[in-house]
Amino acid sequence: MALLLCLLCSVCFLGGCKRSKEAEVVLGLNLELSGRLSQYGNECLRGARLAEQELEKRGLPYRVRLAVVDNRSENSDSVLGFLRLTKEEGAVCVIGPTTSAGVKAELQQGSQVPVIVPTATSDSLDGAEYGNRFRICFTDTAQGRAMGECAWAMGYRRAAVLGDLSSDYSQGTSEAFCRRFTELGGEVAARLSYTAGDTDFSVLLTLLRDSRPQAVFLPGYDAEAGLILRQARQMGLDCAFFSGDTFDSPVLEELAGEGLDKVYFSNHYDPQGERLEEFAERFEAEYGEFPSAYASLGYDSVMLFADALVRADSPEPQDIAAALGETEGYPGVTGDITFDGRGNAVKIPIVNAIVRGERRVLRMRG
Amino acid sequence: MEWGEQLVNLLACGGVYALTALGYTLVFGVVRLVNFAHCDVMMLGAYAGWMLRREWDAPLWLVLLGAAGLCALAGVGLERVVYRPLFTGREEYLLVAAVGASLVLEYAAAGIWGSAPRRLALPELEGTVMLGGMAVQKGALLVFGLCMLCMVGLSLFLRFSPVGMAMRAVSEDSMAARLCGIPEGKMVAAAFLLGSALAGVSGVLYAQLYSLTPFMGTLPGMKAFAAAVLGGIGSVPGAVAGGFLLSFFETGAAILLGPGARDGVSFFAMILTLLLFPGGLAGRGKGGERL
Repeated sequence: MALLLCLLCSVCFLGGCKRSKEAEVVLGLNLELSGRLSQYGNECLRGARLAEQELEKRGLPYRVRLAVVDNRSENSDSVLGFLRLTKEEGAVCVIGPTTSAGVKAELQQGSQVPVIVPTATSDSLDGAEYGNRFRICFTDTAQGRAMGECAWAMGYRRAAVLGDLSSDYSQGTSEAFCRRFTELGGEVAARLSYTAGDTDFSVLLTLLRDSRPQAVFLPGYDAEAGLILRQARQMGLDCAFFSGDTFDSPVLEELAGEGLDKVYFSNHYDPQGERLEEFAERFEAEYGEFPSAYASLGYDSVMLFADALVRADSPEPQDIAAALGETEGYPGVTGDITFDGRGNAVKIPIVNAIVRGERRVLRMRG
Repeated sequence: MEWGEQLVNLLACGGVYALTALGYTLVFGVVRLVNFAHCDVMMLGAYAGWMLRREWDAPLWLVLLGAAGLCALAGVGLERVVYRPLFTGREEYLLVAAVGASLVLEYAAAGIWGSAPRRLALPELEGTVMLGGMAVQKGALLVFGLCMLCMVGLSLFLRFSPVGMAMRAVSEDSMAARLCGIPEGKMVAAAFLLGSALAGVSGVLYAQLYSLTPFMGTLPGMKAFAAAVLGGIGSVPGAVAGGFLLSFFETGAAILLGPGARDGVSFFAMILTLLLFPGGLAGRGKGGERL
């Protein structure tokens, strides 16, 4: 009898185990939590955590657990992080990294696990070999083009480009900006570049000033771009600066200081839009800050995954990938998400402006 | 391109290299140890200054002094905990310990303050003064002035003060110095203390010019070490001259060949100089007088 009871108990126990295991789905997050790009990864994680809380309250048929790895802003660690998430943690879908080079490194693994790309904008992520990749933001070509049009529409005719030689994002947007700006009839007076990690830009900025631009396109990450803005204003360079989505960063604002004037950049969301309002309230209640675009996209990534999971009604990576591909008009806080044939969400860059330290939105689209 | 403007800018960068190079030179002069963690002591100084200004709104002199004091403590601590137990072992052990200490400091700082870049705003040092028709940044002037002051002060200290003479004696022949009753360990600690205090000051000034990150020390540290070698490692005026010369090479390369050429050309120029003057600018060969 005792033996029977014992057996019964263990069967119950095992059964219980099995059921709770089935109900739990692991969503991997491969993010830059330390290193050069940590501010982007950490922002994304804050949004994702908020989404996790939200999902718990909603009560889905599956319990979504976030497994987070830090890739230290290194491409090699992005690959290791991806392997750990998919092979050891059993993630059925991976979100991140936030920058294109990291995503590219991870996708080289050719895994069947779908990858949701929250914020990496490089066009080079396109291609048949990356079948399971779903990008919920616009591409570099789209944002470079939009900023070229914006600079032209604001009446600037002579521009210069200052790009980060070591970044895909910077190269891609610069190319698109120049093409569009010259197409419209503008002149690109100088194309200069720096490398990530540089701190002294005085010689570069003197060269830039010598080309007498009315507008400067500066698609760089916050650590360098913030310093460039400050040093440029210290040298008396008074022109307007244009950039891409990397400018949505508190670090940039801190480093640039009083250099934060006449700055225009393309962004993933409308900070004053209706969609964002309700999300922003919850985010502020949790973290005491207004959500950045990176946090908003992190939130959207997790919520989109949950949506696909419910639609697929299966915790298998292939089924989730198929459901993600069929997404149509998903109402994210950063805008509607519908994937084109190549796994890119069709989205329009929104121009944010910072004038004398104040952030506002320019109603100038596409 | 105006050369004048760039050369003035060189004062600040060269001054930071020179101040940091003095620390490398002092420690190497006394114990023949390349203290790779020196650049991270500089980073600690920058964070100390940043905390002092942010938390207590400390005045400039206190920011500099506080950073110097904390770094002096850190330097002496480093010597006591990491290096001293290894002085009797082989030189390789010390080298490996130095690299290890450097990594520990960097990641500890990343753990405490996060790895996102920060700004140390010292409005007293911003803005420019007109000097002979050229606009010179106040920060650059302070770096240059402090650097000259430290060089002269340190040279006098080493030449005339009892402690300075004892340090030189240890540097010359540690065995003979010990036989004369000079406490060798204390002199080594003194070298670490002085060098690290200077690193603290240069850390604050460097962070004020650019930004703070846990890894901010690596590149200027490497360059400061190069500057110390260039000037003839172990020589105080040599380290300062080396700092400014390296900065001059960098600026020259950036102007003539484009900003991308800066690091490559400057290190190439350094190798060339060392081929011509193997003992460095101060020209002291092996076995000659150091410090």
